[in-house]
Amino acid sequence: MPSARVLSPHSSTETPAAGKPAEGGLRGTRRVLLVGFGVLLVLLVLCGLNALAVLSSLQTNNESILRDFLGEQKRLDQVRSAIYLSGTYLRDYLLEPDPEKAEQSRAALESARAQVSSTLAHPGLLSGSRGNDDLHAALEREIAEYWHTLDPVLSWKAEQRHRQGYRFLHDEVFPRRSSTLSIADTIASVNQHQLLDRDDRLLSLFASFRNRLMIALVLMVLFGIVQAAASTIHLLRMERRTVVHLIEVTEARQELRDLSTKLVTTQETERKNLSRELHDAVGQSLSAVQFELHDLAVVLAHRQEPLRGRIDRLRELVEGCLAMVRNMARLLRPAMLDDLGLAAALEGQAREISRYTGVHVALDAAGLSAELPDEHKICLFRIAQEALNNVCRHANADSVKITVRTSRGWVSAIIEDDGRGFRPGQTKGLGLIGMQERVAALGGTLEIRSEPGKGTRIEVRLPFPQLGTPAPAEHDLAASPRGV
Amino acid sequence: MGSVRILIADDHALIRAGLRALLAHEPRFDVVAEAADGQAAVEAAERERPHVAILDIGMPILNGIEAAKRISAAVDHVQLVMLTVYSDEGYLLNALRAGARGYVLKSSAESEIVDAVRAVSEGKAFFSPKVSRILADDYTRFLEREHVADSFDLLTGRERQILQLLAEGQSNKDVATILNLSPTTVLCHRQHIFQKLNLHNVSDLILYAIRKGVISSQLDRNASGG
Repeated sequence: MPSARVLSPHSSTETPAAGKPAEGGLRGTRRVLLVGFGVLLVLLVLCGLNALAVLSSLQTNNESILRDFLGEQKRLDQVRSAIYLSGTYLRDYLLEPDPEKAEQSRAALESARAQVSSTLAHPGLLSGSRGNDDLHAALEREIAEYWHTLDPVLSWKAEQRHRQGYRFLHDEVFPRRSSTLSIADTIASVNQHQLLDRDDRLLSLFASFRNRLMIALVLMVLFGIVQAAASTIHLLRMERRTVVHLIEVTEARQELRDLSTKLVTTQETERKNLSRELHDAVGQSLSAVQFELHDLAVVLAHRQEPLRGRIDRLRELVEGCLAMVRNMARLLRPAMLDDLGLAAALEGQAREISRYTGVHVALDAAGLSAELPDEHKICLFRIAQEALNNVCRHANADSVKITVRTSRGWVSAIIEDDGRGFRPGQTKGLGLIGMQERVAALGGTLEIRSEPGKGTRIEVRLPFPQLGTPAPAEHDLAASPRGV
Repeated sequence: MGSVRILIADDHALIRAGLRALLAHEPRFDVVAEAADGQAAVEAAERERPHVAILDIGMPILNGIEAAKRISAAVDHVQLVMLTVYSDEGYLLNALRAGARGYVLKSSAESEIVDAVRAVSEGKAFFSPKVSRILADDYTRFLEREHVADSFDLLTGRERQILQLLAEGQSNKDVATILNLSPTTVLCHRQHIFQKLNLHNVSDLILYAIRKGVISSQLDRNASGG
């Protein structure tokens, strides 16, 4: 876009001035954002790690408690069943008449005793559970006494066993066994209580962990909200600043366009005035001189040859001068455009090009409305003129076709040649830029299509306000048979 | 013959004075009015009813071509001579359409204006030879480049004669008298000419004649005779 190109120097002069403080501010903002989001992230990671650690410790704690409980329960059961069985074995031993079988029972009793003592000797047993140490000591004491009670029986003879066995069992062993077993039961129930107790403790641990987590989360959320609010405010401020900047740029562009329009208009007005001045003041004075010289020649018709010859030379000089002045005036402003309209002016231009360069220019202006505003006429004419000049200078074309059309609210002109073409992206002469400036000034579009070896096609479209009903086409000239 | 009443319209006093001085050499000519713009020219023509109106094309308020249209509509039998710096065909055609039968370039006005006024006052046409030459050259180039058959070749000798006389401004009756033919025959020839050349009105016919150079000999004779 021409406007964008023209704008670039303007904006490049503005950027460094406004850029220095903005850059510093940008760096500060970046640091704040980095720190803010960094802290948030670190908090998140720490919180997550803490949660993981607490959860896994809780889990292992829970497992070990359960394992301990189950192990103790199991050992207690073993002790209980061994003691219970020992009673049975002792009874068998005491009441068994067959000495061999009695000996077997005695052996079983011994093994039960060994099992109990080995179970009691187990280091983990009944030790981790504080609070019921007394109970355990009592149990051990009771068991020791129990065994102690049994000890003398083992050395009894068969008939002594037979005699006192039942009574001993009933009076000594069974009560002692019951009391031992009851202690074991008490321990089991205490253990049960302890388990529940630990469960409660775990729960409270869990609750405290939850609270901690909650606090961390709330903190993080608060921090995040602050961060988000700050970011949002900053973003909004930047957005506002951007919008303001955009408006400024748009306005600047519009101003530039207005300026360019004004320049084009001023240029045309100046040319018109200059042309008028040349034509009127200089041209007409020279014409008057011509008349005077003619008069003089008539008056001096009877005089000698040298004088008449000099007058003739003067007349030739003046005529040449006049032609020059008029040509200059015509180049500055095609009077035909004002006197006869766009179609006739284009027709004249086409004829002239054909006359001097031999390039065939065909004009189709049948669809041209007579009510074209002045600035549109001059714009289209200048573009056609420039295009024709380019064709003659560079294109090496045989023929050019100019088509001018008006349709509802639009007037378009297409200038196409069969010349050697060019790459529109690479070549951008002042002529093409000038065309674009003119078209942009009237809010129109200019499209240049060309390819090496495939000719050039320039299409210009201009919007224009329609004035009343569509006017009769301005094509009187185009309709007549004419040779160009 | 009585005097020829002349109106001069040009926005430059120097030119008007020059023209007046030139025309003063011819005793029969009588400049009855001057105007500095197109509107004033129309008003002066309606008031003075001149035989010949010399109109500059580039005039303020109303240009010469518009003024010519109004004057030929308002004043009977007025003959119009356009005085201009433009040799372009567009101007000539518009001048012809506006009813002008004289077309004089300012660059050669001092030597041609008297002949032009005399020619049109006698009902004949006059075009600056320079204009005729440019138009004829353009047309020849056009025919050569387009390889178009020259429609002029379609015309018979008699038709060419009649084309020339009509283009020079003679009426059908005059042509009949000059060529010693009946007016009906002339009318018949005239129709053939228009058909063969695909012409629609006298302006086109005159333009065609100028392009073909068929009236330049007449003009040259006018110029040398004057």
